[in-house]
Amino acid sequence: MRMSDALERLVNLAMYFASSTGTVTRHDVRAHVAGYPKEQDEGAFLRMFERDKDDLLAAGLVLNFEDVDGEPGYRLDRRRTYGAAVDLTAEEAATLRAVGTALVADPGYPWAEELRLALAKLMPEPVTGAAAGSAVADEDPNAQGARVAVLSTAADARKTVTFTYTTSADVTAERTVDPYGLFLRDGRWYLVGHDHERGAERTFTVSRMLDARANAAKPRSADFERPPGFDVGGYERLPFQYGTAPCEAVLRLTGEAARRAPALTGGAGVLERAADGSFIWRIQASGLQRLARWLVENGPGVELLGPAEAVALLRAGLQEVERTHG
Amino acid sequence: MADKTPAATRAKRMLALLHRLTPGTRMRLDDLAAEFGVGSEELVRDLETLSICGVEPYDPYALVPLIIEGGDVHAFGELPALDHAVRLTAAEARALVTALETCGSPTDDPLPAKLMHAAAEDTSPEAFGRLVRTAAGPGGSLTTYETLAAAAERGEKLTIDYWSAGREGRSTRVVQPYALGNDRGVWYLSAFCETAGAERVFRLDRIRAAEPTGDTFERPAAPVPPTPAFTSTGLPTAEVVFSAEEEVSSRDWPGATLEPQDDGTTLARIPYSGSRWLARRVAARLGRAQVLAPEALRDTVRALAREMLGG
Repeated sequence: MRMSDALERLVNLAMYFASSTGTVTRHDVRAHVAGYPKEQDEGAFLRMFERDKDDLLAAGLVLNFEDVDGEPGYRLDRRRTYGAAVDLTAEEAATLRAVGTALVADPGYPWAEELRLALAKLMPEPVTGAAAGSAVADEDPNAQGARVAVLSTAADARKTVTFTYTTSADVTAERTVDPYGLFLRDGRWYLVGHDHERGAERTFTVSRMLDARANAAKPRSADFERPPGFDVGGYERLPFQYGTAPCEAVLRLTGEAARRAPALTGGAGVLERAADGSFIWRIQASGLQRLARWLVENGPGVELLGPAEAVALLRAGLQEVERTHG
Repeated sequence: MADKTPAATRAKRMLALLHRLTPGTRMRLDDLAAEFGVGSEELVRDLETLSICGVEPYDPYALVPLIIEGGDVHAFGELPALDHAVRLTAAEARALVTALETCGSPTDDPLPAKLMHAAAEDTSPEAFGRLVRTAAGPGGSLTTYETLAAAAERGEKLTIDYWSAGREGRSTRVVQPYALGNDRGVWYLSAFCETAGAERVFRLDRIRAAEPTGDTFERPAAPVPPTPAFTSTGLPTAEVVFSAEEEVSSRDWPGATLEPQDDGTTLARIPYSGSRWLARRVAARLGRAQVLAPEALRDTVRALAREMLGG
């Protein structure tokens, strides 16, 4: 069968559902929708119809199922199928054009096709040509984007994934993981999931995966349950939060750093505003050296109050900087 | 050539295409092809297929009314059915929410919530945000992005209140916004800065306020988005030596040339635009990096360390 035959049949079927005022049965479909071969036996027709119906549901049509004299019947749910018109301000429309133009052309952004379709449905004019670009991922963005597409589809369907992974210690092995969620940080995508071999949750750097494939068995049934209340935001770490000896660090943010406090802290830890407009930030740290580095890089206006060990480390480091540049 | 795109994928595209076929509209074929990310030939095949789709009796009055002529697509009548835009699927809604999140939009921002009126009923930006994050925490400003995007489109000048980590600190500038670009999750604006009299790149999260001036400007014919944001062309270069125990990668030092030395140290030649920026990055190595040249940069690093020590 030619591709255009299948497409033509799918669109005809969508239009038939949309134009029908009552409930239609599979026999109505066979009798009134062009594209179903007349010579086809009943079993083949039913399989073809079920596939077509699933494709239309995936495209956004919503069908209500009703029994018609013992036979399944279908009626398009117009309220749930058709989207409400969205009245965008000029600024909002410009934003969608800019970010849309940028991301659909970015190989590191994994949902370009979905974004194109979303914009086509929302925007009154074709979205093209805005002066915008994007490179959200900087290490092999094509591979990262492709793998995140596989991983996010598997996470949505709750299907287990398998991938070959090289650790930071340069050990390569196959990993089997229940994918819970994904986040993007500083040019890299990360996967959070349950690692079957370790029996624990782990965070994986997508650029360290050599491949990624989802369990293809039983595609309609989930392989795992996500932990209740799971929020991938809780797995993002600041650079100084990786390590094995956690402690509480206390920092003061003043001036411009105080204004940028939400962005600087990434929503992590506890921020308390003082009467003078500064913030006291209590945050768990695991690498004191990295904490001291982060503080210097993100200043001015970032002051370390504790722990004393970190303060001493910072002072010794700065004294060394002063000495070597004297 | 045979098209290997699955029928289901093309069917989604065709349903979205129907939304473009408002009676009486005429669109450039190339614009539609660009919008859907396909070649003109593939789009023509889709449109030709659409033009023979419809409902009974499948006569000319019951088919999708479109013709392709002279590089244009002309919708000349009412659609026989499906004349409203189909709601966004969950995947499409998530694509929108994650895209806006990169611009600084928190999931409880009004714009994603507004857009969800066009999405399937069971979709919520907050639910997407629990499974996928495309921005590091809160703190961005979609309002700033909206102002810049609209001004860049209109060719309208802006007054921006900008904070720089370098010597200038906080400044007010009049800029001609050219283009927006995302580099490793951070959005930048490329613009002609009238205050500096030269083209500049500004980080969006350091723009404290942006206000259109009402004056317009002539945009370059093809403004180049600031991606990658860092360009070393024309910048001075610093010589920095890193100790053997310091891990050095070109990813951390964009545009730098790195030369491993026999003693295990690494000599880096690093282009830089702001000496305070580079001084901070060197000082942050807490003694494992030393500026060899220029001398003025060495002074800046030393002064910064002294300042942080309270001296």
